[in-house]
Amino acid sequence: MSSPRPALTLSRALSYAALVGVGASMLLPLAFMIATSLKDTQEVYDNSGGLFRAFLPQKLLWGNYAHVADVVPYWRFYANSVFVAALVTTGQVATCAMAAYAFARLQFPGRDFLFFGYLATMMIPGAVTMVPNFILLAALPDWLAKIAPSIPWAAYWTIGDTIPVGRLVGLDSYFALIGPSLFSAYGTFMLRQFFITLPRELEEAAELDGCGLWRIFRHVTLPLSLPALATLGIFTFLGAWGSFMWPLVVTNKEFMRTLPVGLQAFQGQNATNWPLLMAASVLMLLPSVAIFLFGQRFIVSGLQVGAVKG
Amino acid sequence: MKKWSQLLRALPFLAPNLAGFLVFTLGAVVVSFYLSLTEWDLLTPPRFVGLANYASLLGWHRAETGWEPLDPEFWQACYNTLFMMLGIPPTMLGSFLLACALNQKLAGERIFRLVFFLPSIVAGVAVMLLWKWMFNADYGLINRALWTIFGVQGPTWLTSVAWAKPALMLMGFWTAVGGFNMMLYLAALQNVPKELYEAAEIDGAGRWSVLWHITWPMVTPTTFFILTMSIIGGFQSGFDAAYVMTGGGPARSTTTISYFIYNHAYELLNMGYAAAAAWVLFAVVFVFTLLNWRNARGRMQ
Amino acid sequence: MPKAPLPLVLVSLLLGLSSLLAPGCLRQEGGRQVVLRFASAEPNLEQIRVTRALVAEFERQNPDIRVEAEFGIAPRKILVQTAARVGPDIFLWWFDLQPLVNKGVAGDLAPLAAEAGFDWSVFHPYLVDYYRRGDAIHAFPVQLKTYALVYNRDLFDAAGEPYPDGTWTWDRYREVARRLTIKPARGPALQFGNGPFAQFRDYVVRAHGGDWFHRENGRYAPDTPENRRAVSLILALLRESSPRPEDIESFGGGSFSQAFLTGKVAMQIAPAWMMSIFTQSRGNWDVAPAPRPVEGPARVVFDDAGLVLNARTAHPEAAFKFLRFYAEASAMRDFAAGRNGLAARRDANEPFLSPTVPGLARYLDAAEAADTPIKPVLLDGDYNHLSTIVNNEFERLFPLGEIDEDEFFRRLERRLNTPASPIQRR
Repeated sequence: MSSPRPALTLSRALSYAALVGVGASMLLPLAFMIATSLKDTQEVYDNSGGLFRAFLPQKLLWGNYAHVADVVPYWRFYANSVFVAALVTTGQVATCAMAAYAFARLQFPGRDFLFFGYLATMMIPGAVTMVPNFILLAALPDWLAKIAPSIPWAAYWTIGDTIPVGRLVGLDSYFALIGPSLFSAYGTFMLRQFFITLPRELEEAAELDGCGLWRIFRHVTLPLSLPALATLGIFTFLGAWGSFMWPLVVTNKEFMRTLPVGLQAFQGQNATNWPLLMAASVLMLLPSVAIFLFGQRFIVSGLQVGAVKG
Repeated sequence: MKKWSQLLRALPFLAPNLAGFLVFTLGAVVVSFYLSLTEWDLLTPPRFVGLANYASLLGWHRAETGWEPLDPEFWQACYNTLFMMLGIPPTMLGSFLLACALNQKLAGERIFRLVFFLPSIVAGVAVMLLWKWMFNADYGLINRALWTIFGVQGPTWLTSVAWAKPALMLMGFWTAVGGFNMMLYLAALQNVPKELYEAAEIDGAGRWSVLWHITWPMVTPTTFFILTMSIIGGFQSGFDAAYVMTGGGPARSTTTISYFIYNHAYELLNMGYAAAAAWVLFAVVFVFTLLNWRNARGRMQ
Repeated sequence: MPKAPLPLVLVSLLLGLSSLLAPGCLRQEGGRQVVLRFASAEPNLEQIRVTRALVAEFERQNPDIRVEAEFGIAPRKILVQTAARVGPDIFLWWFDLQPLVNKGVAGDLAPLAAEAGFDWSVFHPYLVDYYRRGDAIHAFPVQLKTYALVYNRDLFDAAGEPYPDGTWTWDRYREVARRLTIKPARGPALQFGNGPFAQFRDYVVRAHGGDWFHRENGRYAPDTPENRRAVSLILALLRESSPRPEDIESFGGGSFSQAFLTGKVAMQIAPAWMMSIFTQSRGNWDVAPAPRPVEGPARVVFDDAGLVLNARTAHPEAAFKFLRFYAEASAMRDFAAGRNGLAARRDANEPFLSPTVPGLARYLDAAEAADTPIKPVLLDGDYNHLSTIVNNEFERLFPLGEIDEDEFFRRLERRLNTPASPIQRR
């Protein structure tokens, strides 16, 4: 262990072999996913050949990717997912950063009590809050109609005459998909832990220069915190992109579904068309993989912060 | 008043997050507890039933054949959840060994780390559908491999009561083994003082002996942290995979607690019962959270 | 992370969103029309087309009403949607009606019909009775599904078996099904004598005069001779001559209803709605009357689908207009022509028949004689919950084989009589 890179010994060779083996078994299912996505619909039910035949497509049917939207409005799901994940990510990072700044740098009565409240709720399972939140969203249009009857809260809307965009609030609305995720106790906690490690001197200098709180936050604190913001942003995006249960319960109309819910419904439509389903799945994974490759250093750095959680 | 001006200064920063927190978390928690004391299907008016929901979730009664739970489905869901949590130790051990293998300054370490991490990034409905196809009894890759290589007729996996849970655990192992836990172990391994290894080398300790007597004890805090977090997560998990891959079946064998809650809330419209089950879940999770906190405090001192 | 100042990003986002709100761009669905939501669990594309044509015709006659039809909506979703205030105004329902009645979701149609002078006698009386609770009528009969034996002539010819006829008993059926099954030593079977369908179990039980939810002295007592006979027969058929779900997938990824069309299933009991699929194929098949039980009187089983008017609809008049339109002879004839079942109106089933498949008339015979609903009415039990118990216990019996028939009936009786939650206890 003393030299930076010792010579290749038997044990190291074994380690290599093990690592390569494990790595292959990590990649194999994903490779199979891509391979299946290029197969013919009936080919997957052909048991006659050996393992290679089972794995590799006989002909590469790239056309499958053009047919993902034949049975379900796949691209609408995709657009919904992108829209929801983008807004949730920007919104959550923004609200968490602002609240974290208040917790980390401002004095106000009840601060520590409130922060403890944030900490305490972090351990509450999502299942506890999900039922009341669902009921709240279901009842929201009716309640709002009592407060402001002039606005048709329960109505469904379209852009022009053709593109349905759901309701303003309540179930089947983008508000339901996005609203409850615009804040997060965990994100606030994580950013607050980061903010208190920042040197105060810069902020104090800015304050002496006559900067307001908002400008200090914007021009001093945030630029220094980009790695932490990126980390939170990446995790929020991955979470929002894969989120399944909540979109499942708050969307009824097909056009409001996000990708995970839409894909799950895809398999229920008549017989499962595995190549098409796998093509749709591969397309769904692309943003996650891209974010992962682009932001891996933030993911690793986020782990150190994450380890403090709890 | 200074206090009020302080609050006024902080409020613009706090407000957006706090509003969501008050409504969707704090308010929801309060409402949820009230709900758990009622019987409500959202269609007919709610009825206050006191602790009856908790009683029928947790209660047992004397049947002709002996003591039986009032709601066997809930206990089955608990059993299924615990059973699937048996996948945690092997996954942790795998993560630990992978981290040890990676911690030798090998060439290509970065690539390995990327590859190992990939499954936990892509985890989700898409990957569940992939595994559902791979687990297909007649045409899935796994059974075809078993048949071609070993000449063994594989089990019917997701449609078999005995194999559905192990199948989901296998998928969970693939997803999690190279993920966050491995990274945590890697970070912990890098903090183990080199002197310890050198001392062991002088004593002539074998490779496995070093691993077992030095490395493993040194990462115990991390192990404890991962274990409690995995248990906390384990109690709450299982819905997505069960919904997508098995529908909670066969014969409810993959219905976990979270699936049970979903089923009562959004399929059977038993809002109060679902809320009560969620609070039982919270009580269990709470115990492990306390353990975790005590451990974290101990570590800091 | 974006270099653009955060407020700018937020403001531009807000502006972008609010521009959608600008008049002329974001519009309320339907405009000045009344928008009726019509939901159906129907997944069949051809059937969806028929219904859409019907909706279009209704909209043409009633320009002030727009009907937004949704298909493939799971029945439970309709209840959950109604509870969550996004429910449909009208929906097609072929599941247990009782929870809708208990929860006040299925509106009473009797007063609306009386006001409109509607004549209920156009329907088979047993169908209207099936929806009647006291003076109230909670659904509008639309579809009637009777059952008959469908057989593949080619496979019978190849095996030299005589075609089934009205004299068959279930014993005979079982025997012939076994003879027509071809299984190799390993791998999927090549041909199956019996093709089951989704309600196969319930059908056989009901046709034997059985009832999973038979009661004695206020307790469920499923261990009756009729149920015993039916279960033995079901098990024998499933074990000896029926395809597994995996086999059906291998036929070409089809569902149960498509298995017969692959030409690898010799015969099966088929509900009338399957004729919509079967008559699309050019296969050499015909229909015979369903077999009779070996013992006891023969029951003629029927299944239903009715239109329910959501008691919470904001537009009851418009909704009833749509129901009435649905029940007109012309609309029902269009439905019968699609063969997704028989029309509930007795005078509308001419188009169901086909000269190429003369046996289709057996379904009409069954409609005249029908006396047993496949789903018994349980006034104070939750049919879905209890059916789930039956399904779970049956799964242990087959295909899992964890228990035998005696144990099945013992467990079933225990589970049916065990309350599971305060809600189910009520």
